[in-house]
Amino acid sequence: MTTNRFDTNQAEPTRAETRRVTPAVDIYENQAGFLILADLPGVEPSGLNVEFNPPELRVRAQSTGLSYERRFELGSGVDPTTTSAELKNGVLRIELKKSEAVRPRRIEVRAS
Amino acid sequence: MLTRWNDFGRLGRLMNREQPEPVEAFDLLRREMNRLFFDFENGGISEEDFERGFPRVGLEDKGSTLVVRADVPGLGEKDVELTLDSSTLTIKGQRSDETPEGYSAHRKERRAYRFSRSFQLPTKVDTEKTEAVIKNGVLTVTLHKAQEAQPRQVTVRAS
Repeated sequence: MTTNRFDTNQAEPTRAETRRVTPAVDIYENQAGFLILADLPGVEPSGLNVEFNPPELRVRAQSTGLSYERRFELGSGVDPTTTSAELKNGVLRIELKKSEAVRPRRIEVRAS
Repeated sequence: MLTRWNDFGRLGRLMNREQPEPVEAFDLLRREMNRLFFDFENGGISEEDFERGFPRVGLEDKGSTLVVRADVPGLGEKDVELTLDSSTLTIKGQRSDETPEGYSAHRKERRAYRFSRSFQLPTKVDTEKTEAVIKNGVLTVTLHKAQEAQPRQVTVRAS
């Protein structure tokens, strides 16, 4: 078995040492809307800030010694009133619904 | 008509067309699109990080304890396994990261990972007293130094 050295020898982080981090994200789409997942390890719900000022969606978060930030531009196809955000195990999940105008519609075909 | 986008190149072409289709109203674009891969300092995980060791694991010596921290976003207590002997700590974990059902992926920077890393601790530790907590995607292991490795206070007497 090989053993590793530790990657960092952490001292108590101070405010001056806050490191800016671009979190890794996944972006998914289905017929109803979009789903964004972002890795934000160490972030508490109180340290998270998700703002949607159309067309910009901005995610900012703080954890000890780290500051995460990422911005997205959303088109008018997103209904700004239907955004939801949830943080679990350091992963942020944002769901956005498409506005009615761009949602595909199912048309019932009846036998005549 | 629903247009399915497979990549951002296609997205770029669609956006330049004169007559946008309704679905093109969606342009979920990041401002820094060209930065597909980041080094770990910037958050993302590259192949290089995997070779160098993932997750990044840090050690803090707090005198009578050693505190080990690892960023493991998406992992809960059931996804991590720790093994400890008096001077070696092994951390194993796994995250599966599949596209959620019914969705197509526009961008996948987060990745599935499976890791196992062993670390030589700088001192012997009392294996009975170890505490491990996983919270908000961060694993924190507190190890108590063995008696003989504890820092000792030396009283200075006036002669």
